[in-house]
Amino acid sequence: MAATRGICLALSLFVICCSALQVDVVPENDLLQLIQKLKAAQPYKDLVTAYYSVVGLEALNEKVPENQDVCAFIKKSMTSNLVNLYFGAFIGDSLKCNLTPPKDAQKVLNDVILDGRTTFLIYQAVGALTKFNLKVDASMVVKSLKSALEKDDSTASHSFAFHAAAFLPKDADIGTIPNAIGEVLNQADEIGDKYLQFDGGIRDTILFVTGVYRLCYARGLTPAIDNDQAIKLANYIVSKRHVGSVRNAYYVALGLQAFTENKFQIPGSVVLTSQALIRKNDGNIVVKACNILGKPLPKMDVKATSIVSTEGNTIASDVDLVEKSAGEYQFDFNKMKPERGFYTVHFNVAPVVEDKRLIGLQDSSFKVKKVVNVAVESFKVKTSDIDQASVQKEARATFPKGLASNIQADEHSNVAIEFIVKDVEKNVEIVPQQAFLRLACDKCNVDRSFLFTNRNEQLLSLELDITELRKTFYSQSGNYSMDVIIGDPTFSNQIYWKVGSLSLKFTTTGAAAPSTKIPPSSKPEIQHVFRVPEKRPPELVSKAFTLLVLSPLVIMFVMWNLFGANVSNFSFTLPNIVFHLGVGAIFLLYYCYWTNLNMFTTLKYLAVIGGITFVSGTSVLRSIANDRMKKELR
Amino acid sequence: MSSQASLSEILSTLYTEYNLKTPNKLKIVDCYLFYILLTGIFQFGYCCLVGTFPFNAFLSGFISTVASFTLGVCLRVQVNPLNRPIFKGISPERAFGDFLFANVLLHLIVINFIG
Repeated sequence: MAATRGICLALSLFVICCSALQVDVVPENDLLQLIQKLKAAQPYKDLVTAYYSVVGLEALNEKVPENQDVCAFIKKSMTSNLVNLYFGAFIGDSLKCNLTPPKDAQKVLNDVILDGRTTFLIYQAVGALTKFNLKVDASMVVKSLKSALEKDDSTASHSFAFHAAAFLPKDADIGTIPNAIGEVLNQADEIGDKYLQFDGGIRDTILFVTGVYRLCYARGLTPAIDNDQAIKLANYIVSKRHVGSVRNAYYVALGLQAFTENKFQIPGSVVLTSQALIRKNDGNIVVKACNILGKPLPKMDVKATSIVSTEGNTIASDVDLVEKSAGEYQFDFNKMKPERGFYTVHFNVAPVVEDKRLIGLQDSSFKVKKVVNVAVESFKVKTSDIDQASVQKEARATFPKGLASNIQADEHSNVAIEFIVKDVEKNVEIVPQQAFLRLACDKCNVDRSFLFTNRNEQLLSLELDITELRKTFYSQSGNYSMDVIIGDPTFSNQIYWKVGSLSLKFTTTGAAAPSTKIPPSSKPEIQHVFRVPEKRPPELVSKAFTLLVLSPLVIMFVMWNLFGANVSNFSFTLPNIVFHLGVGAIFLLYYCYWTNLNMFTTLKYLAVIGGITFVSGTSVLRSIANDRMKKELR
Repeated sequence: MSSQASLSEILSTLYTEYNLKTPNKLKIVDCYLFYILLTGIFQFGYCCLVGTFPFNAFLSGFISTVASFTLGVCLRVQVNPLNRPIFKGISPERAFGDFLFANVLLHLIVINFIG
């Protein structure tokens, strides 16, 4: 079972190869989820959520659900402060509510611009004024923006300045504000040659992109973002499509809109919409040219520039694809008469009507594979006696039926199995990647697989030596079911064929086959092993050396005697006796430490004896020194 | 021949000089050092001829002789009257006291290591 599962798994793995800088596309389900997130914010309880939801849906060209009278809700919450005016103005503009701003709106918003604390506040005020069709003093806005930028030159600050400046009329002088685009872009971080993002994450990245495109569109400038950077920014936005909040959904929606509806750069992608499997009846390869939202791009000329097999053979080149439906193009791969195997198809996509905005479409490629239907043929099981090899019994089976009868074998027989695998469509013999025979004992708990080999061209064969099998099957006589398993990634049908059964007879009956389940048990305890004692010398040698090592002591005493050393100077005073006894006691204590004491008790005793010895020792040595001094003085 | 004669001459001069000029106390210390040296040689001979097992016992015994010899040499240097100017503050008695103290400490460690 495991083997077949493995083969199925191998089959289901397709690798789709891409060109250097591939544009990612938001999958349809993810886009629906994003829209759902924005719609689910209803009923709106505050202006902020309403703003995110309404403007986000507008960016994705989706209608706001009409469960709630949003216009009435805004009118009710509209008060004369910046935040409410800004959100109200944008929602009102998006839903065409025909709002009349409060009377003091102009003054409140102008005050914010004049105050010019941050570009964010200025942007909100300018935006609200524009959406309410109130008068905007462009020179004041530009002056405030400049002073705000001097205080804060972060990415977000510049982005809001771009947004604010985009609202100003075309003839207004906005000075050097657009010059910062390249400088700000330089601060973006590239991740893995595929994404480009700002430190502030999704909000800062999208504010920058939308700000740049809006400003450049409004002022008729060319954005200082090159095509690769645009693709990397778009990929980053697509990668952030799984959002947790309405706020992030709004930003992603704005980002996606920026890269699908602008006048400068629209990243496009070629995606494979058909399966990458080429079968006999279904050889159509369908690709789609779409933008990052998965929406079809205008009509294209799509060409398969080359189809190359894994061996490096080009089987076709410059194949034109025909338009199947809007944005989808196809060709029949089977027309190239491919052999089974893997192929890489390179595409070249160019718009019919030239559109310089489209980027990222150059040279994309996909890996596809041609699969074939196979069958087993000429399946034979030959049994023969070891001693009389000439006498052979042969049993045949036709796929997918099994053998007519049991195969009998004992320890004196040889069993040989052989067959060939054929491509059913072309009727040619092929060698599969792997072929096994599985023998499973019906009654006991043993099954083993054996590999077929193709020693002889396409003929797959396997010889079973029953004597050798005895150990493998624990001498368990009985019926063994025979299954042939054939697998190959280029087969459309993987074969698991129950051929029949093999009756094995072993001369000795073994103990029952061990259970395959190993019961959990404790591992053997690890015992510390001491160094194995070496062979000791004979006792005589040890004793002789003990004496030999002690002998110099005698020599020393003899020599001392010769030199006239004596103890005549020994005076029987208390400190003297205590001192000598003390020194002796210390060495006696050491002997005890060696034989039976431990370090702690030894140190305890040593402290006492050592202390006494030290005190007496000092007095003895001092008196000796004093005597010597007196002698010298005399 | 002549070199052998001079060698024996040198040795005999050395012996007489030693006998005459070395104080008795130093001779006693020299005997002690000679005893330690012989013991150490015998230990080493055992290790070469019979084997080092148990190694820690051999090592502690040998360390004991080597260190004792070193301490003995130190004592001899300090009590030598010729070296008096170098060790002004250290009387022979003080040197002997230090020698004893160092030996007590040394053999505590030796016994600990002997196992």
